[in-house]
Amino acid sequence: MFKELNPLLHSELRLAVMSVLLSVESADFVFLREQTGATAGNLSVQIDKLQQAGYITVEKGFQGKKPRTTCAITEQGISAFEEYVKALRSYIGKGL
Amino acid sequence: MEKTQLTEAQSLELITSMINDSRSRLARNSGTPFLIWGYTTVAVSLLNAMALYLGWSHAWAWSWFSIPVVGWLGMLLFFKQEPSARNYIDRIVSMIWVVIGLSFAWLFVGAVVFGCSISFLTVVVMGIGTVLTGCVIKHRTTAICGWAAMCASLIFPAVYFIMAKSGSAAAISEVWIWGELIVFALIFLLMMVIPGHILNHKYNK
Repeated sequence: MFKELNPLLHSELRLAVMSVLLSVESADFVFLREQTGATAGNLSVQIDKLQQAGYITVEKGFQGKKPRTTCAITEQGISAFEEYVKALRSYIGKGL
Repeated sequence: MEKTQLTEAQSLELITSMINDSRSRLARNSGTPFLIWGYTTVAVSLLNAMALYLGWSHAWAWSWFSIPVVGWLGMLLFFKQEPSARNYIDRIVSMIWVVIGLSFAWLFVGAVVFGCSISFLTVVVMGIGTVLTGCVIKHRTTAICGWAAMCASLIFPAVYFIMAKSGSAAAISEVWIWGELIVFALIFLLMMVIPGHILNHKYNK
């Protein structure tokens, strides 16, 4: 029986954001935008969705006079990501 | 990034490439702190060696205190913006060098109060920092350069040992008074400048 893939993570941009955040302690919006190549609007929407699911935390602050949004993955996000990768592997493993 | 339906294989590929790209990007300029501190130390050491060789005023010895000033100014200028992302490795490497930096207070006491060889202690402590950094960032050349510097640090006590045992201590001492600084500069070149350039060349492509 195949595990169902988490629909929140099975989206290109949200998965990219989660992958980036998994490899860092925290990253700001600009870093995420540059790494994913997404538009600011689209990225903002997807970050909101991940935050609402409790997968990431979002802190809004300032760096000098410029606003700065910093994101970090949560424990819940890490668990969901691990489950997602496990499910992916089961699909690929059975497909071979 | 377009909204597309990913296949399972594409998902895994995306995860791998995002993680690898983020790591490579964070490693950019990782050799620069080595270059800032390495070149500053080499330059001040050579300046002092020249001052001793040419018999300039001993006041030149105060230039040693320019190393932390120039080093920190260089770091502040180069890394003036807070990084847009930080990973665990950055934090560990930063902490290693903060501890190494603080340990210089003890080295200074050891050298001034107890007359220990500051060159020997400095190279050993900086060598430990370089080896640890190389191990943490998984860069073998950096770790090897650190180990090599630690091995080379034995030159300093060895020369003092030879001077104590040999009959020609005065002759050796005459050369060693400035030669020690040349050796010190060469060790720093090996320990910091070479790994710094290799790291930047590797990650700044």
